[in-house]
Amino acid sequence: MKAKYLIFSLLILCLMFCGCEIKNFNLPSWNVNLKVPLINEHYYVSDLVDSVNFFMENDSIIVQASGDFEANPLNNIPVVLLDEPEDATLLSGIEATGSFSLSQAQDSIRLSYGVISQGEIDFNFSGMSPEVISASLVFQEFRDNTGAPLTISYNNLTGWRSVNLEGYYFGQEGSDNVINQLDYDLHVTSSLPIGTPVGNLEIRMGGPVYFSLIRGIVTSYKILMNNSLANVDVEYPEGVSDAIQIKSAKITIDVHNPYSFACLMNGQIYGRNDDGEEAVYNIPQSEAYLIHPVNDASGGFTRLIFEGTEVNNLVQIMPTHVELREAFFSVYNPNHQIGEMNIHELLNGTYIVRTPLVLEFTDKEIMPADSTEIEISDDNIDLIEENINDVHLMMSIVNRLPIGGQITLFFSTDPNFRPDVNDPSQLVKSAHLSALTYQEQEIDLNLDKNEIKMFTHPYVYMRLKIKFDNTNGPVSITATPEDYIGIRCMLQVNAHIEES
Amino acid sequence: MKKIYFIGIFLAVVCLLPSLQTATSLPFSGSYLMRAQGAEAVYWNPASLNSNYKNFVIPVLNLTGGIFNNAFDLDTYNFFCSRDTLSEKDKARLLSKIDSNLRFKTDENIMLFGMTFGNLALASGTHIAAHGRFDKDYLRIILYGNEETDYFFTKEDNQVEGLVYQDITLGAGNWNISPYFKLPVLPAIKVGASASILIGGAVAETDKFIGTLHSDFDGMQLKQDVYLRTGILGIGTKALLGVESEPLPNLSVGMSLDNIGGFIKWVGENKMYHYNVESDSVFAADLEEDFVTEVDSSWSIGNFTTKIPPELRLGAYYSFRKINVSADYVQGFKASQVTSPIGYFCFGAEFLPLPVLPLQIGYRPGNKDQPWSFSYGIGIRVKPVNLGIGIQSVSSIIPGYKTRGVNFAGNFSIHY
Repeated sequence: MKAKYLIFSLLILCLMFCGCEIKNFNLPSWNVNLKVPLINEHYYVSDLVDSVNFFMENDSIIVQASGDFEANPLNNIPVVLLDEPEDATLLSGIEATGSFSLSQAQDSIRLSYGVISQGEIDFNFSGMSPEVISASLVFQEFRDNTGAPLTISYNNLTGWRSVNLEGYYFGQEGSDNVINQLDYDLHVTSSLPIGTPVGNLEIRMGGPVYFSLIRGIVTSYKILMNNSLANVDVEYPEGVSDAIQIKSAKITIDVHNPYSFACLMNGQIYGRNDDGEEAVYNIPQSEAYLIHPVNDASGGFTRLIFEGTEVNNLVQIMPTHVELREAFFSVYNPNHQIGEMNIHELLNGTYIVRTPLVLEFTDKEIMPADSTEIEISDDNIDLIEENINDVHLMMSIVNRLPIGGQITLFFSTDPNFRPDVNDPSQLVKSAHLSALTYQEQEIDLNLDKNEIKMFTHPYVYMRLKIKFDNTNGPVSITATPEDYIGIRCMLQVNAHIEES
Repeated sequence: MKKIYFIGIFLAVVCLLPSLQTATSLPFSGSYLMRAQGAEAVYWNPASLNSNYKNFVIPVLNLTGGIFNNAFDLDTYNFFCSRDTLSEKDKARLLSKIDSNLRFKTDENIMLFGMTFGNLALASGTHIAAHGRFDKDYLRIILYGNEETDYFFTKEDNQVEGLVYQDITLGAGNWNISPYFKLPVLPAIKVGASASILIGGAVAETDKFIGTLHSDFDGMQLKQDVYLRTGILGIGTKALLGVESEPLPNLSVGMSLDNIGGFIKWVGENKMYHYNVESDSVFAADLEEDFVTEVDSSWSIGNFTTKIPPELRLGAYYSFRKINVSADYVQGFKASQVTSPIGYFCFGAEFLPLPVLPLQIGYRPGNKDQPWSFSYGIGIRVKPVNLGIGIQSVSSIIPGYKTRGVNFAGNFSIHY
């Protein structure tokens, strides 16, 4: 009996100390789903406004491209004063007055005042009697900077000689009286009886006199433009010019005219696109587009606005190069108003091509030519290879814009790859975004284990293709607070956890 | 944050430390109200003190130690460690083991010294009580990821708490109060009382715990706000009242009310540790930015008091020849490091095939706090030596692969 109790007690002891296998600690691996919020952004149309190319106007977005232009420096304004030689008979003891008719009296420039920057007057005393003591010709209209009139004197020399007119003033400063003839005073003294012809004086001007400032009546004068300043090259996202059509545009030309003559702008705005299409807008010649002179209420500022079918035609070819061609300004003075032109002041201005974002989208595809390089670090490659099973990119998008389309992303390890949905070496992901949605659109892009392998290369190249939905008519892009694309992204990663 | 980790690890280690306790109670799964005798009675029921049983508890040789949790057993551990990869089914199996949180707990009474003097006894013991609990959702996130949109973590499911204190207890009993009732049919009703001076060693209390994780299209919001209060060196008191009677031959019943006026006031180096990490509306695209605000600080605080709430214990004991059985019911009144408001039963039995060879068994049904357990013990009772060893198996009838925890105990005392 006692042995039984002993055995029973030993059994209890065995129970108490019975051995159990306890495995060495080993951390197994497992998969977890990690949800990582990626972004939550609202992209407002109004954010496009940069006050350089994008402006807001009554909640509408205005896109504009602008260029400057400037007239060629006038240098000197040539005016032909005498187109024919003139002569006068010198009579002994006579103080005579006379005048030469100015050829400019019939020309487009009739001066009342001018500052001469270049010019000569030639004279020749011929057939002079030896008894002549002195002879001089005084032009009252030409004065030097001391106010002394131009005097041509006989000094016993014959033959053609010249007087340099540079620095002389022609006429009275501020005068509104147009000078139609060149008055002169002739003084001859000799020992011969009074009235005896003692010689002859010939006057001529071999060419125009150049003025740095003119005042008078200008009825026709061409102010040439420096066209190279007005060339603008426009770059569009790849293919976008095929996919959209701009419905209307407006060309605004602001001109600062420093002259006291009204002008008309001449020339054409020429546009050309990469497909070789050309369009020209001829700037209309009309008093409606008169450029105001500096001396009226406008202070010389004029804004010319051109719009209409021809302007639209120019913009709708989506020109990549725009230039002003054969452009010049012509003085417009049908009422023969007195005015001034100074070569030190240049006519200049800006031209602005403005178009509201009223577009029509076609269903053509846009695809930038260049791929985007994505560099993946060795650490991330290891992480992707060993820990990432699949990835879901869940997007919740509100598109309040009237534009929708199919967005396709192509990935390849070849930097020069050509996107091809049928190429198995490429990873292709596509999603459609509808226009004007008030409800959130759920887009789920999934990358499985095989597809993720693409990102285990050090460099992956991505290209984007957008195919807009055809809007079947123009749509207006406005910039109210309700015009935005809201994107919320959540990355759901199925990751493999293991002891490193 | 490192300090908080350190304290957490410390508390976990405390759970594992071999420790002295009234090791004689372990084989009975704590059904010991009516079994405690001699110096041990000052902790259980001082009414039992009497001059017929004198003993001296040997220091150091009364050892008990172990660990348990409410969820995982050895089988689960081996299964976990034997898998190369956890399948969805495996993960579900792991999670199914946990109700709302994963709990570790120890509640030990370490008797360092004890001696009886007639109806008096003087004893000293060290008490180590610690528990930690961690929300099931933490494990869910580790295993499955943050599949849900919202996770909330509260102090109810996430805390670490620990208390180490020593007592010097003087008890007296064996006072028969039945004559005062002047009812001749009344059996003897003995009462006793003990009073303790408590010397606090260390305390750690989770003062505040708030954790949230929100993840959706609006970003990820993370908040973790933890306040942990610690104290070193405290002083306090508590009292225990006990009563027992033998209404029928071989049947005795009793009751005790422990922790009366129990408290420890921490007067030494007291600190509050605060760790806060917050991020709001975080998106991966913004990770370059400084998106997390982190506060890791600690500061000294004034004295504070840890209350030790009362605990009521009812017990019955019946002996018949070579067998005796007992049953206890324990009801705390408030949650604390050492008490629980969730009541529990425990049962014990002893078989004496030989007068010197007690074989013991105990059973404690499970409740929300703790899984069920079985205890076993064997001893040698030869005057003047009383020794024994015991083992407790949690969630398993015998220690094995299904055990969620084990406690070992050894006791040695001299009675005369």
